[in-house]
Amino acid sequence: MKSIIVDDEQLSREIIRHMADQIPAIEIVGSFSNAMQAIKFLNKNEVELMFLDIHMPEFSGFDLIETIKSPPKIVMISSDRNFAVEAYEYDFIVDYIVKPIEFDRFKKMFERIKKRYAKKENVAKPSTNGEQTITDDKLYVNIDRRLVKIDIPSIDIVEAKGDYIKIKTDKKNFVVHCPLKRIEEKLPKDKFLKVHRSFVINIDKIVDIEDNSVLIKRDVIPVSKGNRNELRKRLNLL
Amino acid sequence: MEQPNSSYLDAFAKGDEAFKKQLLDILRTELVEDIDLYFENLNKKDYPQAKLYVHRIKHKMGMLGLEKSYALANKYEIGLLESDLNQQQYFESMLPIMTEYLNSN
Repeated sequence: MKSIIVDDEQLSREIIRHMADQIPAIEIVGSFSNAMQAIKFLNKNEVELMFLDIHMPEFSGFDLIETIKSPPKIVMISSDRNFAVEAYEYDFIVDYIVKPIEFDRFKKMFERIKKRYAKKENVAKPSTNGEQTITDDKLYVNIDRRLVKIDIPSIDIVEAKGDYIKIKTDKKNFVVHCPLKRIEEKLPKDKFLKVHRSFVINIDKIVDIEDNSVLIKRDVIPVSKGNRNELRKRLNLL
Repeated sequence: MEQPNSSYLDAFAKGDEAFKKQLLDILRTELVEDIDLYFENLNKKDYPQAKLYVHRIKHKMGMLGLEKSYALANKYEIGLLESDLNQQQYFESMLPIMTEYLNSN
C-alpha cells in the first residue's frame, strides 16, 4: 500500500515511518513536512494511504484535504482529540490516532483498513488495455490522456451514448470513450446490473421501482422486459 | 514538579539504542526551535501562532511521559484561543526541565 506521511514534526514522521516499516504491506513513498509539498507529490503520484497531521503551520491537515481532488485513504494523526468527530465526516478518513502513537494502536489501524477495504469478490482484476483500471473499489478512467479515479460505490448510473459512456456519480459526471459492455464487465456484479441496453445501474442507489423503470436520484431509468426478472431477484423483496 | 522519563521512547525503541538516540536528538533539536518560536509569537501577542507551538511542545511532553503537564498544556492551548494565559506559568516552568532532561540524555 503506497503511503505518504505529512507532518510538520520530524519526530512524528520518524516514528510513523518506523512503525510503518514493521508492516510489510505499507510502503512509505514520501514523507513531507508541509501540506504544499504533499499536494505536489499527490498530483503526480498514485498514493493509497496518507498519514496526515492536523496541526501544521499555514496549511492544516483539513486544508490539505479540502484542496486535493481525489484524496487517498487518510489516517489522521494528532495530539488533539477534539477533531475526531469532524474527521469522521469525511468518508476517506479511515482512522484517527492520538499522539503519542503506540505501535499496538498503529497495527490496529492497519487491520481496520485491511478489513474495511478487503477486496470484493467480484471486482475485476486490473486491465492492461489502458482505458480502465480497477484497484479494489476504485476505477480509473482515461479522460483527455489523464487517468481519473472514481470510487465505484459512488457510481449511480452508467449510460451508453454512442461510442461513449456517461458515468454519473454522487458528485460529478464523467464522459469516457468506452463501450458500455467493457465497464459492465469490470463493475462488481453483486452491486451493478444492466437493466437496459443503454444503462447499467448501481442497485444500492435505487429509490423506487415501477413495472418498467427504476428511479435513481432524479433519473428515471428504463428497465427492459428481459431484465426485469433479474432485477427482482437482486432486490430484497418483502 | 513532574519529571520527564523515557518509558515511551524505551518501549518504542525496543532496545535499539541507536534509534532511541536518533529520536532523542530530533526531540532536542525540535524542542529548542519550538520553544524559541513559542516565545517569539507570545511576545508579539500572536496567540494563534503561539498556540501552534504549545501544541508541538505538548506532543513532546507526551513523549517524555509528562502526563500531568500534557493535560495542562492542553488547557493552555485551548485557553490561548481566547487569549487566556492562566496555564502559562506552569507550562513555561516545564520547558527548562524538558530541555535539561534532553541535554543530559
